[in-house]
Amino acid sequence: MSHRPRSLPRDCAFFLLLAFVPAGLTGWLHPKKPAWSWTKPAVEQVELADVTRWSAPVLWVDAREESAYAIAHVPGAVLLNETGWERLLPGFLQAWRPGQRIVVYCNSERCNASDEVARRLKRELNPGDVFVLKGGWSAWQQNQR
Amino acid sequence: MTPSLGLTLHRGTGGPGRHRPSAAFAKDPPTGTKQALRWLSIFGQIARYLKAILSAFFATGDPPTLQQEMNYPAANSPGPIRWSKVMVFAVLLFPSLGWGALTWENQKVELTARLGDKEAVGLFPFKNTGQAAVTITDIHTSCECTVAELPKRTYAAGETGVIRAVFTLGDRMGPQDRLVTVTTNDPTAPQTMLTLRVDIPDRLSYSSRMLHWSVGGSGEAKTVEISAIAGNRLTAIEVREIAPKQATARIDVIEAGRKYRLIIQPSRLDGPWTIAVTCVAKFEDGGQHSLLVYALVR
Repeated sequence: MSHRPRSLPRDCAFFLLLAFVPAGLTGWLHPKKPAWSWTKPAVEQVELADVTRWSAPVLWVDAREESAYAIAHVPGAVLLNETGWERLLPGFLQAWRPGQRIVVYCNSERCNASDEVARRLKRELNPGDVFVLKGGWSAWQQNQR
Repeated sequence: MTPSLGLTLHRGTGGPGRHRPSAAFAKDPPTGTKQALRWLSIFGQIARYLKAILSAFFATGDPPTLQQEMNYPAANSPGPIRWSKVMVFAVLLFPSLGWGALTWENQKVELTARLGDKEAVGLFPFKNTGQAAVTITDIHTSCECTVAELPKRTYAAGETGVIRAVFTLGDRMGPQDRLVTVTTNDPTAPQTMLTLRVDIPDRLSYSSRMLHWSVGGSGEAKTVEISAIAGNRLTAIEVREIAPKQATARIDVIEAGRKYRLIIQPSRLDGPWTIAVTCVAKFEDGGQHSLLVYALVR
């Protein structure tokens, strides 16, 4: 009995392609296929460590709900969320100065309010550099411990 | 013929599960390379093992009986193994036996809000189609603006339920996606992502809502372009209020009913000012829309 020499890349490719068949059929035909959600990360994320190293002035924007902001927030942060956008916008504009870098945060890595507020700021006001804090308020709190 | 399973246990000098270095690597390659090669080797073994099972499963011809199979060592096995098929089925089916499973009627709900709506409610009905009770251990929403309501946590086999996602619209505009992550004690599908997509229609679009002048700079006029979004037609647009009155503002028509230009010129540039210019747009259907544009002197 003769054995053909086996090739690892060929084996891997074989199984990879094999997996595409049921995956493709499921995605195409399954009546209850999972929702496909893709949100474009239009706003750049920054680590807290990077923000602390910036020499440019920073305007912190708290995108959480008012109750969470009232309990605690980043010192100097202005409250701006989409629930009360029109009411809160004057407060943001009062604090804004040209040349500031704006860093928006929400609760944690799992929230998307900061992304949405940052995108809306860019779209409606285009106030300069807008970033989203990676890890949000949780990251800030951890850094303070 | 039956392919060899190709899964071997290395019992070299390095101890169980460790590979003896081959001649090609007698010169001690870097630790990272060793690790990479070790992992590649393990993946290769697994790939060969799976391929062998699949080959046996799909092979044609008369399979031997269990008795024949027992009489032949694996390396000399003469043909496809019926028992392999049974084992593959058992392995594949095992996870779904004896557990509960939630089947969702819809994992994505799309709604369109009407003007003036305060909230949008998405319903996600489900049924426990498994054999045992399922407990929903956690529900997480992607935004504090969305609350997921569930009357109870545990659902017996065959029982139905519904998750009600209430999304507070606030001042949001455009398409909005809210995610609800449902975690259960069902090990075959521990997490399910539900999406509530709400389109909140806007009637106007604009180039910007903020214009900036420098303190002590030149006070030239600046403009904002305002357009009616497709499907809407304007009858008029006017400047209703300027507060404080530190600027002048007027509207020019670019294309009647569709496109207008708001022109703002601050009258004082001697200090930081925030001037709010309120415009009111009137639509053919009788609706009105206010737009606040901010002139900032900084």
